Amino acid sequence: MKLGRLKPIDDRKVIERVLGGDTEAFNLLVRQWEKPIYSFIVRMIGDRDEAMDLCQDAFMKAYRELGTLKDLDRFSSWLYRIAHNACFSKLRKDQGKTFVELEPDSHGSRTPIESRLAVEKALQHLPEDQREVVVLKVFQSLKFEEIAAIQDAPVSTVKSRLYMGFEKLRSILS
Amino acid sequence: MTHITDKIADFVFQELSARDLSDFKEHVGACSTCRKQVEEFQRTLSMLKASPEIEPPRSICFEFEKPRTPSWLWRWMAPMAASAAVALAVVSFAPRQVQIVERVVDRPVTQQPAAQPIDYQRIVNDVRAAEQAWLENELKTRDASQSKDVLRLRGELQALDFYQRSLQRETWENARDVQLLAAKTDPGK
Repeated sequence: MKLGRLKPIDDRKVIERVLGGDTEAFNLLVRQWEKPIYSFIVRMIGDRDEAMDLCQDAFMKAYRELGTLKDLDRFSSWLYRIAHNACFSKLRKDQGKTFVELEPDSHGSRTPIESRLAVEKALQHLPEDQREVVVLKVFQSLKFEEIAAIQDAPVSTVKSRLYMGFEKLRSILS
Repeated sequence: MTHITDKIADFVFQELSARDLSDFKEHVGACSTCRKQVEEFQRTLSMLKASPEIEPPRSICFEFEKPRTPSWLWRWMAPMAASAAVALAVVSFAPRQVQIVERVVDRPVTQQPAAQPIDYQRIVNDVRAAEQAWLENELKTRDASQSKDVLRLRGELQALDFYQRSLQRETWENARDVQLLAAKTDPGK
């Protein structure tokens, strides 16, 4: 989902309703953001079932802590930050575990499913910081400043992570 | 010539200012090294973008509890508690008045035992504790029920997945049979 297509004012209005006691309105935010947050988490951790659980947890946490959100117009960045924390917590927990490799790729023309598998597999070869920048930039279309806020890092660091990530992905995918 | 490789991402993702964009284009037009790097960056981006979007397998929908109305226990216990408090008040004060009168004879007034105050807080705490226990039990029952639902849904999903794979296998086998049949019946072969 492209961030630019969303109207921040809509998020703000819904958040105000939720904070005003209309708790059911939170489901509007969930509906709006579940797809980008889920796909972000899938590409970060590479496990769809776990991603669904983490996505649900992220929204639950967002609901509980909605009152602490200072700038209501920055809900999406704040939500990504929650998802970021969930992913990194999960990745830290899984450190040392071995995963079954996906089927080897047949280079050449790929079906969309094969492309997706190839990309998901290639992403798993990147260090987590680089993977996150690539996912947020390429698939979530976030601005560099937004990614910097999520990663709590300078924009220059975010950009160098992107370049390094692209370099590795190029060698894996091509 | 100073290369501008650090601006490639800004260019590709259209985050360059108008002035920087003009400088960038001018430089890339003249510098084959930077041009090649831009092409490589865009090629990698295209490969990544070829991956289709990921859809969540299901939608998340939260069910929020409405502001809690007093439970049947509380509705039942509250008047009982009030009645108990009144009864205790009667019990506490009435006989003791008699007792005090009786004791006035024996003891100085200063040593009169004071009427014991009613511990309303204790009554309220008891009622709350009872309600808390009831609520915890309710929540445990609900959690157990939801866990069962989750298990059932997972089972159904696995069954569907298995069914889908079987169908896929059958389709492949049918296609192979059709090809074999076609090869046998084709008079040209």
